[in-house]
Amino acid sequence: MFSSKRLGAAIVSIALAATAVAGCGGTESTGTPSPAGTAKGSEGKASDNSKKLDISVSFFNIGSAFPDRNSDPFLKFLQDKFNVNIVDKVISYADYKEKYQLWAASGDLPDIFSDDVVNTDQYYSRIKQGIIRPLPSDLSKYPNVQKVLQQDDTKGLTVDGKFYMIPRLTYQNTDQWAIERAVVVRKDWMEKLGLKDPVTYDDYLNLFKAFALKDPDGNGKDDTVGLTFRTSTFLLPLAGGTFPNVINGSWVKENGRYLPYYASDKMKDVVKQLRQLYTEKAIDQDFAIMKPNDGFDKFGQGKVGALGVQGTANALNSLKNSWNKYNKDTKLEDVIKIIPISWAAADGNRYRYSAVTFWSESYFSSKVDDEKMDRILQIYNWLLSDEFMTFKRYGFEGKDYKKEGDKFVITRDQDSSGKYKSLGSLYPSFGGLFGALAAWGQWLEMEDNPVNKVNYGEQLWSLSNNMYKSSVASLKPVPSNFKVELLYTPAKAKLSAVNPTEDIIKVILGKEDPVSMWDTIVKGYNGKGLQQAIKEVNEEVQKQGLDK
Amino acid sequence: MRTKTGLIKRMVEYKYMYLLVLPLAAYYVVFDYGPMYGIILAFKEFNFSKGIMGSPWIGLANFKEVFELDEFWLAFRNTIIISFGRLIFEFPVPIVVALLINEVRRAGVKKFYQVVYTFPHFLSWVIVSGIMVNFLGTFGVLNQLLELVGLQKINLLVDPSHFRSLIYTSSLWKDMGWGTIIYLAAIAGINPSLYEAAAIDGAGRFQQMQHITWPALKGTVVILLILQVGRTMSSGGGGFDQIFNLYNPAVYEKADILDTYIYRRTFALGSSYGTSTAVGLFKSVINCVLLVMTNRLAKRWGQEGIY
Repeated sequence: MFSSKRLGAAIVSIALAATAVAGCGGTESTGTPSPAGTAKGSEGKASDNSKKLDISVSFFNIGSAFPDRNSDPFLKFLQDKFNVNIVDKVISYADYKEKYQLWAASGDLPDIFSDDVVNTDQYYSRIKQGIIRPLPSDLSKYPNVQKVLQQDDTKGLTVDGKFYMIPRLTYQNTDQWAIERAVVVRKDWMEKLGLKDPVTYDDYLNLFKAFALKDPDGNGKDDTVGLTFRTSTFLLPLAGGTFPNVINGSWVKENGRYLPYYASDKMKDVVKQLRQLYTEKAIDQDFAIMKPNDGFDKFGQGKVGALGVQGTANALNSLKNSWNKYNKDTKLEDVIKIIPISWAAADGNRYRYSAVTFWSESYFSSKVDDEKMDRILQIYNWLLSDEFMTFKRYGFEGKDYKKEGDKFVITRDQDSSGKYKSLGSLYPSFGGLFGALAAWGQWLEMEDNPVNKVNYGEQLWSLSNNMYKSSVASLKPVPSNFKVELLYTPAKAKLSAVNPTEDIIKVILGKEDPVSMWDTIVKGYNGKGLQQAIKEVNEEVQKQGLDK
Repeated sequence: MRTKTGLIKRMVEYKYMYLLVLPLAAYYVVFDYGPMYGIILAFKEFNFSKGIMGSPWIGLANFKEVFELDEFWLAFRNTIIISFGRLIFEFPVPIVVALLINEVRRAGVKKFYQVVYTFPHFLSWVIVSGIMVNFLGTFGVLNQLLELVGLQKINLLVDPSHFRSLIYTSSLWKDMGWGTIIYLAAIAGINPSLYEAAAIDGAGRFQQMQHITWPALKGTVVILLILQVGRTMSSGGGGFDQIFNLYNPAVYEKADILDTYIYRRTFALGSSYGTSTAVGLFKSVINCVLLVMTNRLAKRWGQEGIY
């Protein structure tokens, strides 16, 4: 009995393994079709959508998108509108790279998937090996998609004249990234210690040092931290006043040649300053062993004078959540101030973060046929439309809001603290997938509208928005040539094996002379193809005329 | 010499026995030996559309690529040093602890110690590393104590010269009790009449340990030693979790082992199935050689070995 059971199991597993090896894709039948999915005559829609299609999707947040398919009006709305059945293939931020590799290997990639590989080795090999499919050359049927692909920083992203992805826009223009790198400081501590807003390197050093050493919380103990970080990505930008390109990690033009920022001689001053900030205790002595977001907690506990973090309303709101855990009586908004990420440069200029408008892209499996591609593009076109943007702000008309003249009146449910329930919690498929599938749309957070002000709090939202406005007005964007950033050459792609932030952390914490340590590290980069990459990039820049 | 027909005859005779083994054999073929064909990736340039079998052969290029990296050799050296460190500093401790616990006569107290020593094993390295960061950080207990007695603050976790001792001590703290279980089991199997006889002959506690407990334990010690040596290139088994959670860029030069290095490399580069497999294969081959060697040595010394 027992052995025959085992034998049966073994046979089943052999059969399973065989199907896995055969890699039969395209026969997704996961999930029972929901009532929402049963197509009723789509109201007056073009008849070419008459055939119901299964569309499989992978997206970073998709794990939370379908808790219950039957109780999600947005999912029903979208599936009915386009006569499709959305099939989810779950990934997470932690494993999407591996899973795509695996699925690509077994011919099992979903129809739509999100990744951030444009212009890398992987991107070109996926195209060469026929794993992803191009968009149709005529996109005039999908004007909103077309618009995304005609932006200054996206229109050059063709391979052999074809687009192989749709960039997922974070912002609408490069300026909107302005406060993506900023420092939040304790205003109350500054007043107590009699310190003014810092301008020069010495001001920054003294401010952070005072936070660490002058007992700003007045408890008589040496238990405060100067500057700490949300993640290590905020470490280098700190020195942007000395060398602007460290703020966005871009290539820099020096003596007529483009170099990655870490190959520039100016890095010597950067490592010297960062080392000094560390040894004089201006920087959190534990920064290298902190996990992402530990900085929020430390700040919330009232032990930190300054935090390197995004100045966006969203990031401040996360900070506020940590703050509220430990501080019942004081409002975060009353004790903080946002200052530029770095000090003024020698010529008096101050710099701000700047980047291409998109982070990550939508890719489409080569198994998607033209009919399915048309349906997908219809969906994308709608997800990029004004109609959907209005939905992203307010939700369904008549249910979540009503219009009185040209005024939007929010009628959405509120939670116990008076905040509107987020659309993502009301419609999980929106929160986990469709809200960001075609574009992140982070510019909506910056809009002056009632929802933002209620959700982030008027004061917090204004704090962020004022910083944004003053940054755009008075700080210069890091001089960077995005065409060079997005350029592909084989050696440049290999440079992804270099991790300058890690190496700089090593230098900051090291005991030997920082400049000579850094020199050795950069020499090591040459062994990883740095010089070859510089050569290839500059040749391509000449050839393609990418130099502005 | 058994003839071929003789073997078949025997197999037919014992056919039900063979049938009993079959499911297990099938299990191994499907789940353990089947996937092994993936090893050939180490000699191929992986092409998604062609799959593992269809991808072009590139000889030893993957190995060459890896062997040319300074970081690889750094990680290789660290792996060996940390593994041998574990053999010297960590391996003997559970044996000693087991012998000591065994000397505790009252059963209740014995159980109590055993539980106390075993418990930390059930905390994951994520939690233990969190505790350690709190304990050893700038404002942690250790530095508060140092400050109290007027000494300089130190930050052990970012200091390469202290990192390895931290690795050994933390894994001792966590796992030494767990390691004693198998030894205590071996000790429990010793016939009590041996101790009685020795006591009548006038042997003291230490002599009993020396002449009865230790000889009975030796076989187990050797087997565990062989297994441990066989894991050298994986840094003593379970090494990844510990080091990954405790290390940071400042201590890579002393802490980075092959497993952690490959993990970072695969993620940084995105597509290096070939080179990752090459390193994995390289590691396994060395482990295998070490295992065979220790097993031979053990046999030469009159012990049983593992096969």
